[in-house]
Amino acid sequence: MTKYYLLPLLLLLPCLCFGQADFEGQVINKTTEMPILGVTVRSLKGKIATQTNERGYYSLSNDTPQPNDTLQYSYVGYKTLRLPVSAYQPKMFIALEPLTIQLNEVRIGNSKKETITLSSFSAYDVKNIISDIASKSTQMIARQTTVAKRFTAPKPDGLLMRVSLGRQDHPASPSYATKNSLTKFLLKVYKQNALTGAPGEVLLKKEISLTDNAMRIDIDVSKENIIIPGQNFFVAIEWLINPYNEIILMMSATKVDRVTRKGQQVYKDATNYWVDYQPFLVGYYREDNKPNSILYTSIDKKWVELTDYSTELALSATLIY
Amino acid sequence: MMRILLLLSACLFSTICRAQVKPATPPQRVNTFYLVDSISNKGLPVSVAIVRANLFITTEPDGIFAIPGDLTQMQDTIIFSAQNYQSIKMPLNLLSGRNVIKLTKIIAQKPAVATAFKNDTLLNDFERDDIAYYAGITTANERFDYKQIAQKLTLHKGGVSLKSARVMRLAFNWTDGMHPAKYRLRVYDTDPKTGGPGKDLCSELIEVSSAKDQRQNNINLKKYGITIPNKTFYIAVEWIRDNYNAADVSIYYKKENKIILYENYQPAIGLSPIQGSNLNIWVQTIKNEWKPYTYFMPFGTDLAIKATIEY
Repeated sequence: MTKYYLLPLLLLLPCLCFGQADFEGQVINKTTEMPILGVTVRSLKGKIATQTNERGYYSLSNDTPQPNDTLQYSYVGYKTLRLPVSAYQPKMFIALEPLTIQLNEVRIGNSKKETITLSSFSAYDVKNIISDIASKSTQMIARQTTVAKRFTAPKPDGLLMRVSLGRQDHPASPSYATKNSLTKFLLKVYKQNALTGAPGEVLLKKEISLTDNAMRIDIDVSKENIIIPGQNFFVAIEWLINPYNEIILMMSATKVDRVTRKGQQVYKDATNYWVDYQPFLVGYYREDNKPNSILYTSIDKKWVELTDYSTELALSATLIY
Repeated sequence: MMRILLLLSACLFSTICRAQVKPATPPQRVNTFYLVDSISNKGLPVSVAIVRANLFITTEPDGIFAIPGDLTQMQDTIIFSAQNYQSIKMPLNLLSGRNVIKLTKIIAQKPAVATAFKNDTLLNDFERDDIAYYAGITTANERFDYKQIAQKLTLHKGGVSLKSARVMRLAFNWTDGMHPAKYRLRVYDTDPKTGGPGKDLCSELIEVSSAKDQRQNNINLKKYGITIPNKTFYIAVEWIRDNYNAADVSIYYKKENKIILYENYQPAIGLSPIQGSNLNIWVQTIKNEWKPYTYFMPFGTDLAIKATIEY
């Protein structure tokens, strides 16, 4: 008899389990991979919408998700993209294709400026983090408080326009680490010390504040007027060890539980907290398997070359000549 | 019955041994004490703090604790405090030769309360999935050595009844999660002199058990008949510093370039994701003094503790 009552309940179960739906990610230009500001992201059946911010980031929560819903991404000058929610993946990059409009080239003046991005990485590199690299990123951050990456420009006197970096949630989140989209850190640019080859004179020190979960961060430094004097220079991330950047992990450890009458210590599993600090950078494998970055960290005010970091750090610099 | 004696020794508090079973250090003189109610002579769960050594624990309900070593040589101050009992503060060496410490109960007069309430209101509401920060964990910036942490709540008028509280703590949905915790919930009137927690508004112990993956504790307070006399009051979490809650925390120190382990106690209490205009979090120090908790300022002004009142 009971089974007749259970059947309708079982049929209803998928509907009952259909809870809140959260969508977040970044919308980028398919050609340039630059973020697009102001893209309208709409849940067609849910009839809710939002817009991307300056990092192309959006977050859309639907308290009453509909089956077979579709997310629509639209912006003037781009082909509209529709994505069934069944194909949505957490924090995915959405690449919008620009509409092709033929314009006659207009030149002002008699010179054309050249833009070069050093150590460029793609959205694909940032998104497809391999787990062991993720843990390496974490390990690096747990131990270091500054990481500097060396760049070699094709010629001196380039104007630094932009720094881009890949960023992720703590690799342990949300399984056993807290999740926090708020972070502040210092972006620094150094000349190369001619004697040591390590970072030398500081060319730029700028506090960067992030308030969303965007994975690719583009930082416009064109107004800072940083001219790179030689070919080699460093871009560095310095972590701020303060409560704002805290991420707490809960793991397990063995602890003394009690002491027996014979003096033996008896152990038990107990919580082990670990405090990490944002941001968590991204390392990725290059296709040629030859990472070209040379990384330094600052320990006790001395620069130390990181030789055990075999992946490419998702950090790029764009210069204009 | 097997009793676990709580030893107030540095080795218990600061040494986290990860090795297998091994012999303990050579035995030394252990002074055992019984903390009891002065009238009934029954054991009490008491918070025992040694001030200069910055050590404190909570005894089991039988009130037994022990201090190893020669008490006459110890130059420190010990404080015994328990809910609804007068605290005792004395030089540690005066414990020499004693084995029973009697605590005197404070007889609280219950205010007259209206019994029929028609409405209720939720105070300090927030979205729990947005909680990002937690208090109660030692970090590279501050050692967390507080006995209690309290959230100030504000009403339109006094004379209401406290119906329930909701406390958010750090836990994860592990299938093999191993983070159960227990703590005491306290309710205080506002001290007119300091603006912090003052008179205890509950005459009974409210002990909350939180399962291994339970992030939210809903605590029904109706049976305690707690009346809030004024427009502001406090709900506090009191840590039970015993073996059950004992944990540790790994801290990396840049200057030394090494990781140090510290003793820590569960639970860690969430911060409200809503930033208020005033700081409403207070902590109680080892000396039983209350002070505003500024660690998360300016962005962390409130704890993730909700309360429902009836009026």
